[in-house]
Formats: sequence, structure tokens, C-alpha cells
Amino acid sequence: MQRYIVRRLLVTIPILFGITVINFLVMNAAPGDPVSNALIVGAPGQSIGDPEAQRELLGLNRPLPVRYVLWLKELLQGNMGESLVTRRPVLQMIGERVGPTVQLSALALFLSFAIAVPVGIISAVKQYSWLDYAVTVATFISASIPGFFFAILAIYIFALTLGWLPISGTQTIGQPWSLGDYLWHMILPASVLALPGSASLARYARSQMLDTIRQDYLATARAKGLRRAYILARHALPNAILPLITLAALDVPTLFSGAVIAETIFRWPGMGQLGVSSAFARDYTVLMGLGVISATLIVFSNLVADILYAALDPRIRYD
Amino acid sequence: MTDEAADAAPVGDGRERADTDGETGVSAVSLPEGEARRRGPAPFAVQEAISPGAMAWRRFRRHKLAVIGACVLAVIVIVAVFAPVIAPHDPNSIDLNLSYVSPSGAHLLGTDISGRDLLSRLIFASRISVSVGLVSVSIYVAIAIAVGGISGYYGGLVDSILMRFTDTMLSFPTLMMIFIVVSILGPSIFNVMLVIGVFGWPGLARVIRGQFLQIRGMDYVLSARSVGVHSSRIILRHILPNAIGPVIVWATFGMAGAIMFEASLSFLGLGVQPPQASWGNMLVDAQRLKIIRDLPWVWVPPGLAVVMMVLSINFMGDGLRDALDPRTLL
Repeated sequence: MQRYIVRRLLVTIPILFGITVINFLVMNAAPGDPVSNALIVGAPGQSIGDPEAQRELLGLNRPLPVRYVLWLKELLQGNMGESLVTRRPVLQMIGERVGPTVQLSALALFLSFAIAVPVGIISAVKQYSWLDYAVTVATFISASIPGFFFAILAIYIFALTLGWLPISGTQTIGQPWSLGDYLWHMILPASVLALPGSASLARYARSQMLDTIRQDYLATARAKGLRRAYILARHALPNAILPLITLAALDVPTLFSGAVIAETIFRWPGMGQLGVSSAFARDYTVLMGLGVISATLIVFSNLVADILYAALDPRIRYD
Repeated sequence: MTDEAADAAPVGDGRERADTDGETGVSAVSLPEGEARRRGPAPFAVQEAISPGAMAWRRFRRHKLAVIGACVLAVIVIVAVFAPVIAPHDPNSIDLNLSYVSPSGAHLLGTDISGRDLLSRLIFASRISVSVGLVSVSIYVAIAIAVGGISGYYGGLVDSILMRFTDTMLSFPTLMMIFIVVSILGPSIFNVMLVIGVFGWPGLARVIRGQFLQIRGMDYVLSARSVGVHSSRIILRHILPNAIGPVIVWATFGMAGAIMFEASLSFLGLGVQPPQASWGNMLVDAQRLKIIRDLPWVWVPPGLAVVMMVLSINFMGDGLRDALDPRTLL
């Protein structure tokens, strides 16, 4: 097990390396450099002197690979430069946004599991029932609704028409911050975010459960005279839902992309919202930082899922 | 099919069970009664020889939702092609006196903030979705075949390097990368297609690699190699056609994904730019609560149009998956 974890960690290194290389190359494709940007957007009244001398000083005349190594060194020390627009450190700006996005995505992931697993299992146990067909159709429809349209529909129905849930933001205006209020505001965006994932998870849970039900050891359990509910819960369920862990990890990039839409519509102050505003402002340094950080979060969630999977499934031996 | 042929099939043969439902499409050639007795139980039910394409088509036809999806899609494509003929008004003609006119005889779906006819814009916007689907998916299928094919065929170091690269690309949140690229290149329909194509390929590349790994060990590939067929020819002519099923299925689902992506980007204002109409940017107005609450006829039709098109493609993809999977029993 330890050997597996070490090996799995080693595999992530080239991926993280690749992420930084691609980010750096894309950043270099951006027009202008820090000096010309400073000339355009620099603080008024502040002279930056001779542009060429500045470039020499900042090392911008050096070859690309050298600049990459220098950049990587700074990155590893937590220096991502400063925003071209606000002039604040990029890491600080993103740091404020990671929490809300991760909380929103985590709740969405939890919701999609909470919906998908029971639905998938029931539709497998009652294969070809009306419920099973309803699940299949619902899966297709929810996979075909763009997140933004679903979000607007949800606002129209649950916030504007029924008035059950808040429209947007993170807290009720004029009230002190409280956890309950925060979660209350999270329900609508998290549900919107959870929908596409829960549909595919339910379908997957269904096919896993169908496979498991046909296994011989379940026939044995039945032959022993165990109760059906006990067999399903104790013998079938653990094996059926184990692979879902991997699927959930693969869902994380989708979740992040979905969060961009949900955060924009529900005015949720997360990384996605920062990404949209930075894209409009052409704030490349912030965008690069977001690219590196979200990619790293994704890589690590995959890593955690793989290790969890190996730890939970005794059949898997990676030595 | 006749009883004799059914009897002749060995017990437990999957085909036999499936054939008895009578709707199967493939029918065993029935032998004359005496003939069947003399030969005794045949090891296989004798089948009429039909091409894999025809077999796939027969399977596809049985998937009702897929057929409906294909028909809806055909209608959308026809609308897109003949948009100038079908649209009742010029989609871009502005009349500020007609801002947000409710649906009526003159404007069946009403007008938007600048008084442009929403039905005409809806019709013209279908062109964007159809072309985004086709172009971006063509780009990424080409990249995926190149990367996945080379990786799977050659294996070894080349495979390791390409697959690490694929893993890396797979770890990027696509939308985030698209922001970066769009902020550099500027938002436009062309850039949207390019970006979806360039960032969409890794999943498919892995599938193709898996197929190639399986197929390259087969005898016919070995024999092609032993008579000196060039590697690129083996990849494209001998292996690829046998791996094409999953590619078609992925490309179909990919098309649905690309259309949703374009709509999302245009909705955020980072995709197709007004005045050009796209289903996504027709919903931009719906970022204002007043519009959402009071004027649902402004934002519901373009949203439904996306759902309808994507749903049709997804149903078609499901049908194709059933039709092209050789393991699917008839």
C-alpha cells in the first residue's frame, strides 16, 4: 500500500510539471509583457524608465527555458506575481476565492451522491420498472440542459415564483453572517451544479448494481436464506458503489467548469467568478494563477480518489 | 425465422434468444426441413451475410428515441441551411420602438431589447450551433486519432510521453483554459470552435489508444506488417476502421458537449458576439432578474432550442453506441 502511494505520487509529478509548462507557454502567447503592460496600465505619474533597461532588469530578454525555470522557482515559493488590474498579489486574490468554490463544489458532490446512489440502486433492483425508465429519461434530459439555462429556470421557479430560496449572494442583506444562512444561500447553486453529475452517477450506479446482482456470491447469499434487503445493503452495495469514487474524482474538472457558470449567475464569490471577470479584464496573471491552482486541485483530487480506492478495495494489489 | 433454424442453434447461444423476439433484423437463412435433419445440429445458426454497416443501421433503427433524435437533428440542420428563406424578418434589423414586444402575429416569439425579431434570431442562431458542433468535433477527433493512434500503435516510450501529456490536458478545467485563450485571442465564433477542438481531445485519445492496443496484436496486423506495409498505412487503413465505432459514438456525444460549451461561453459574453445571434448569447439578457421574472418568452425559447438539439444528439449517440458495439446482441 505504501509503495503504491509513493508510486502514485511520483506519477503526479510529471503531470504537475506539464501543467506549469503549458500554463507558461500560454502565458507567453499573451500579447505584451510586464513592461509594456506597465506602460499601458501603470500607476499614473510613476515613471518606469527605459523599457529596454527594464526588460534587462526583469530578465525578460533571457531565453524562454531560462525564464520558465525562474518563473517556476517563484511559483514554488508561492509567488504568482500581481494582478495587472488590481495590483494585488495573485495568490492572495485567488486564496480568498478558493474557499467558496471548494465549499460549493463539495456540497454539490455530496448532493449528487446523495441523489444518485439511491436512485441508481433502486432502478437497478427494479429493472425495467416505470421508475427505471423515468431515471433513464431524466438522465438524458439533465445531461442535455446547459447549466446556465437550468440555473435561470431554477431562479425563476424556486426563487422568484415560489420564493423558497434566495436568488443569489452568500448572505441575507442586513443580517449578521451565520452558517445556516450561508448554507441556505448555497442550496440553489449547489443543486444546479450537482445535476449533470448526479445524472451520470445514477446511471453508472445502476449498471454497477446490475453487474453485482448477477454475481455468484449473491446467489449464495440468497441460497443461505438471507433477507433480500440485507443482501442488497450488506453484500451488493459496497461492491457496487466502490467504482463511483473514481467517477466522482473524474467529475471534479466538470464541477469546476460548472462552478464558473453557477458562480456567475448566483453571484457566488468563488474562483469561477474571478475567472470570468479576469477574462473580461484580460488580467493574464490572475488567469494563469487560476489555471495552475485549479489544475493542481484536480490532480490532487484524482490522487486522493485513487488512494482511497486502493485502500477500500482489498482485491486491488498494485505491487 | 423458422423453428428449424432456431432448433439448430446451440442452446445458450445468445443469438438464439435474441432472434426469437422476431424483431431482430438479422434472420437466419432457413434450411429445408430434410436438409436440416441430415446435417444434424449445426454449430452456428447460418446467417445471411450482411455488411457491418447494414447491421449497424438495422440496430440503430430499432432504437426509437435515436431515430426521433436523428429526425429532429435533420430538421435543425435544414433550418440552419435555409435560415434566410425561413426567417420571417432580418435577424439583425433594429427597431428601438419595438423593444421587448410580446409574442404576436407579427413577431411570433416577440422581440428583444433592440426590437429584433426573436424567431428570426433563433433560426439564424441554429447555424452557429450546427457549425460549432461539426467544426470543433472534427478538430478534436483528428487530434485524438493522431495522439491515441500513435500512442497505442507504437507503445513504449512514445506511449508513456503522449499519455502523460494526455493526463495533463485532462487535468485542466477546460473552461478556465478557454478563458485564458479567449482573453488572449479575443472572443469570436472561430476561437470558440478552435478552443473546444484543442481542449476536447484527451478523453477520446485514451479510448482510441485502448482500441489500438487491442487490435495491434491481432494476426492480420502482424501479417500486414510482415509483408512490409508502412506503419502509417497500417494505422489508418488496417487498424482505424476497426476502431471507428467508439470514435463515432464519442464524436456524437462530443458534438452535444461542444454545442453546450459554445452556448455557455456565449452566455457569459466570451463566445459569439452580438449582433450575431447564438442561442447562448440570446440568453444574456436573462442575467437580469427583471427579465427572468417578467419576460420568460425572451429566454425560454433559445434555452429550449439548446436542450432540444443536445437531447436529440445524445439520443442519437445512445443509439449509435448500441448499434456499433459488436457485443450488442441482435
